[in-house]
Amino acid sequence: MIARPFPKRLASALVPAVPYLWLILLFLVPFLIVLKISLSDPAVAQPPYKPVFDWNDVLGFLSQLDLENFETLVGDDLYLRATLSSVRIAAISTALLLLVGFPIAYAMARAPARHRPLLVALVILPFWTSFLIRIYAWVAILKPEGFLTQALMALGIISEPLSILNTETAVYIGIVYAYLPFMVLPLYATLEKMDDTLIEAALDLGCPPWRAFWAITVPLAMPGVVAGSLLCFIPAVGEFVIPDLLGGSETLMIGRQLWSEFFSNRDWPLASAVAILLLIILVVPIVIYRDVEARRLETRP
Amino acid sequence: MNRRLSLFNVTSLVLGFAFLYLPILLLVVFSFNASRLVTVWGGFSTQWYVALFRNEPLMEAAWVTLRIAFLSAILATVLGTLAALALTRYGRFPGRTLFTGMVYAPMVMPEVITGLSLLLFFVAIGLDRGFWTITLAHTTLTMCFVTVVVQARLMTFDRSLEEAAMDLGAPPLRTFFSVTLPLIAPSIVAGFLLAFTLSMDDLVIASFNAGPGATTLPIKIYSQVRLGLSPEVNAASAILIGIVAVGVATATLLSKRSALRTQRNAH
Amino acid sequence: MPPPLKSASVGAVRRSFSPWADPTATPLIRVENVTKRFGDAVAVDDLSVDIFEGEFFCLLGPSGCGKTTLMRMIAGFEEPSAGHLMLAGKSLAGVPPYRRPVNMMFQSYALFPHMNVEKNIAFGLKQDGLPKGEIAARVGEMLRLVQLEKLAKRSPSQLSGGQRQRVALARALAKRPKVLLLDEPLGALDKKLREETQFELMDIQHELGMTFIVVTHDQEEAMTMADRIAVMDHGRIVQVATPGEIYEQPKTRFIAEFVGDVNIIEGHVLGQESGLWRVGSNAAEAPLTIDDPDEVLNENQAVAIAVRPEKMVIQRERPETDAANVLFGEVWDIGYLGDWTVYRVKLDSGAIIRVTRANRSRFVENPIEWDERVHVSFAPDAAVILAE
Repeated sequence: MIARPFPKRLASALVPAVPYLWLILLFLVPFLIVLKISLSDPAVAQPPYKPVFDWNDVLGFLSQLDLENFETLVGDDLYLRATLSSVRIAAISTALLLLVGFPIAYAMARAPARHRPLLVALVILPFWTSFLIRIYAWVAILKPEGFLTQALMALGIISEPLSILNTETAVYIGIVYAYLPFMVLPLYATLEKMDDTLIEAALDLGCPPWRAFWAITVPLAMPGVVAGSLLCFIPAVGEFVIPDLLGGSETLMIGRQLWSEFFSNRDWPLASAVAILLLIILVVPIVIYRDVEARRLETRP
Repeated sequence: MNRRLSLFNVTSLVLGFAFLYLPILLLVVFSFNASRLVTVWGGFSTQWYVALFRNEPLMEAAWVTLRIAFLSAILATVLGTLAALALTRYGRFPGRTLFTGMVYAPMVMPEVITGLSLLLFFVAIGLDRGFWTITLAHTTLTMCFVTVVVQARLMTFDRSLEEAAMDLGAPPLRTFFSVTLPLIAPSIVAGFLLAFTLSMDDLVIASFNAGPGATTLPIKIYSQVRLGLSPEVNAASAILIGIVAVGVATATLLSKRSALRTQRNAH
Repeated sequence: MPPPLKSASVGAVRRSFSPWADPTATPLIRVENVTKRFGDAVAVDDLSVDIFEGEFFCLLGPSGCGKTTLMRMIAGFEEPSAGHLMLAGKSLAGVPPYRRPVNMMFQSYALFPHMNVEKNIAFGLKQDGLPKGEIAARVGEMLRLVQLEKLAKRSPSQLSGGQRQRVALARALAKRPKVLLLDEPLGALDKKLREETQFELMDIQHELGMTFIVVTHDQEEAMTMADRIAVMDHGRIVQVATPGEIYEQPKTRFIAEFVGDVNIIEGHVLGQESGLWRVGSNAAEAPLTIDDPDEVLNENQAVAIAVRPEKMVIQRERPETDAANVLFGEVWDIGYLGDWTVYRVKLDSGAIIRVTRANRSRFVENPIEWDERVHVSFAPDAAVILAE
C-alpha cells in the first residue's frame, strides 16, 4: 500500500462514509424511533405520544416504556387475523405470480436473441408508469358495470354483472398485475443464462422433453424463482394501495391496519407497534433476499 | 443456438403482454370519453383535459411533485453512485454487512413501514412536514435503487481500462473522471430516471411525510380515486403515461444510437 | 524398379480392422444422400457415408464445414432436409433424440450443475427405469473406467477441466449406446492433457468395442485416434480414408493443406516416362519426376505437386543421385523446435517452401546458416500430384 497524503485519504474515505451515514441517519435511526414509540403511550399532545425523550431524565424515560401496545396487538384478534390474512394473500399472490410469470419468462428466454431486449423493455415499461394509475385502471375493469362485465356479457358468457371489485379476488388480480415485472425479470435472467445443451444432454440420455423441463429447467431456475418470489412476497405482505382500492372492507391486511391506526385513529404508538409486528414477520424473508441479491451481484463474472 | 418458439410460448407472450397493456390502453382510450361515466363510451372529447388544466390545486400538486422528484433524484444519484462505488471498489470495509443490508432492505420493505419510520424521525428532530421531508424520504428510498443499477454496471466494468489510464499517467481521481465516469454514465442516467419516476409515483411514503402546503400529485389522485372513477383522473393518467412513453422511446433511441456508434467504432 | 502397390502399406498399420474394405459387411450407420438446410444456407450437402460397428470414426474439417450438423442429425437434434439416416438397418426418421440408442458427449460437456458426479452419470440410466442396484453397479463401473471413484460426490463446479471431461464421457457411456458421438471431446483441454486423453479414449473404445464418432477440427487428434477419417468441407465429404492414406495420398489440395504441413509446387504435365510423370515447373530448372501412378493426367494439364516438409532434404551440395528432384534457394528463416529444425527456403522462383530436418544428434558441425544458398531435394515417390 502506498502512503497517500491525508486529504486524498479523506476524500477516498468519504465515498463509503457519506451514503453510509445517510442510511444510518435516515434508515436505521428512524427504525429505532419506531421501536421506541411502539413502547410508548398515546397522548393528546404534539407529538401525540409520551414519553418524549429527555437527556436530563434518561432513567425516567426508560421506566415509562412498556409493552402495552403489543399486549393490545396480541389481545385483539383483529391484528392476528390481519397478519394471517396478509401472509395468506401475499403467499397466494406469489404462487399465482409464479404461475403467470414462469411461462412468460420462459417464452422470452426462448425467443430469438435479437427480439429479447424488446421483450424485456416491454415487461419493464408498465413499471415506469404510475403504480397508482395502474391499480386505478383495474377499478374500471372490475366494477360491476365495468369493462370485464361488458365484454363477458357481449360474448354471452355471463348474463348477470360480475362483482369482482371489492373482493379478495380483485386484490389477487391487482397484486399479480402490479408485481408481474418483479417476478418475470429475475426468472428471465436465470432462464436466459441457462445453457441449452443441458436440455439436449438430458434428451440425449433418454429423458423426454416434459421430464427434462422438471429435472433440469426448473431446478436450475430456482435462484430466479426464489428472488422473484421474495421480491413479490415481501412488499405484498405490507401492501396498502391495492387492498384499499380493489379490496372490500372485509379484506384485512396489516398495511391497511397500520394506515388506519395512524391516519384515522391517530394512535401513533399502536401504528408503530403494528410496523414492528410487520417487520418481525418480514425479517427472515428480507435477510434471505439480501443474501440472494448480494450473492447474485457479487458472483457475476 | 437456434431456439424455436412453440405455440405455447407464443400464447404465453401474447396473453402476458395483453394482460400488462390492456388496462393501460383502456384507461387512455376512455380519457377521451365525452361521458362522465368512465366505463360507458359517449363519444370523443378532450373536455377532461381542459378541465384538468383548469384544476389549479391539481396543477399545483403536479408542480410540487416534479420539484421533489427532480431534487430527490439528483441527491439519490449522487448518494447511490457513491454507495455503488463503495460496494464494488472498497472490498471488506468495516460495517459492510450492515451497509449492504441497509441498501437492499428499503427496496423490498413495505412502504408503510418506511413512511411511518421516517415521519416519526422527522417529528422527533422537530422538522416540519412538507416539501423537504418528502424530498429527504424519497432520496433515502430511491438511492438504493440507484446503487443497485450502478453497482451492476461496475461489476461488469473492465478494470484494465482504469489500469491502462493510470499506466499512461493519469492519477486516480482523473482516471475516475475521464475513464470510469463516462463509461458508467448510462447506468447513472438510468439510475437517475428510475429515482425520478419512483419519486413521482410514490403515494404511501409521501402521504406520511406530506404536510400542509405540500401535497403531491399521487396524494391528490388517490383522494379523488377513493371517491370513485373520475374522467379527470383518466386524463391526468393518460398524460403521465404519455410522458413516460415519450421518455422511454427517447432513451431507447439514444441508447440505440450510442450502441450503433460504439459498434461502428469497433469496426 | 516399380514400387509395390502403395495403398496397402501407406502410413502406420494399427490393427487388422478394415470392415469398410469388405463389400459384404453391413454398416452400423448409413448416411444416404443427406442434405441439411438452415434457411438458405446448406450445412450438409447430399452427403453419404457408411460407418461400421466397432469403428473409431473421425469427422474432420474446419469450422462451418457441417461436421457438427451431421453429428447432431445422428443424435436426433436436427432432422435432415433430405436423405436418410439408418442405424443398424432401421431408419432414424422421426425418432426423437431420447429414443435413439446413441449418446453424445457435448463439447461444453453439458454436465448438470445441480447434480453431483454420481447423479450425472446415473441420469441416463434412471430414464430407462433400471432398478436401483443395477444403476449403482453401472455407475461404479463407469467411475472405475474413468478413474473418478474418489470424486463421486463432488459437484461439477468442483472439478478440473480434465475431470469434467471424464464425467461427461462416463455419463455418455453409462447407457452402453450402440454409437457414442463425441463433439470436440478434447477441445477444452490443454495440450499435454489432450495427448494423454487421446490414447485413453482409444483404449476405452477398444475395451468396450463401441462405435465412436468424433467431430474435431484438430487434424493431429484425428490422425492419432481414428480408424478412418472423413475430411469435410462445405457440407461435403472430400475424402474418407485411414489416417495414413489421408496424409500420404490426399485427394485434393484442400486435404493436403488441411492435414499436416505441405509444400505445393505448381506446374504442368510434360508426359509419362516408364510409369513416372514428368512435370515442368518454374520452381525448378529441370523437369520434376513424380511417382504417382494412380493419377490419370493429360499432357499440359496444370497440376499441383504436394510434398511434405519432412520428405525433403536440405543440403549445401548438389545431391549426387540423379533420381532426386532438386530445387535451389536461399535460407530465409530457421526455426529450432527441439525435435525438429524447420527451414524456410526462398526459391529462386520466389516461392517459399518449408523443409524439416530431424535433429538426430545433439551437435551439428558447420550447420546451415541464414541466407545460405542451398539445394532442396525430394525423391519421386515423396510427392503426390494433385489435379488442379
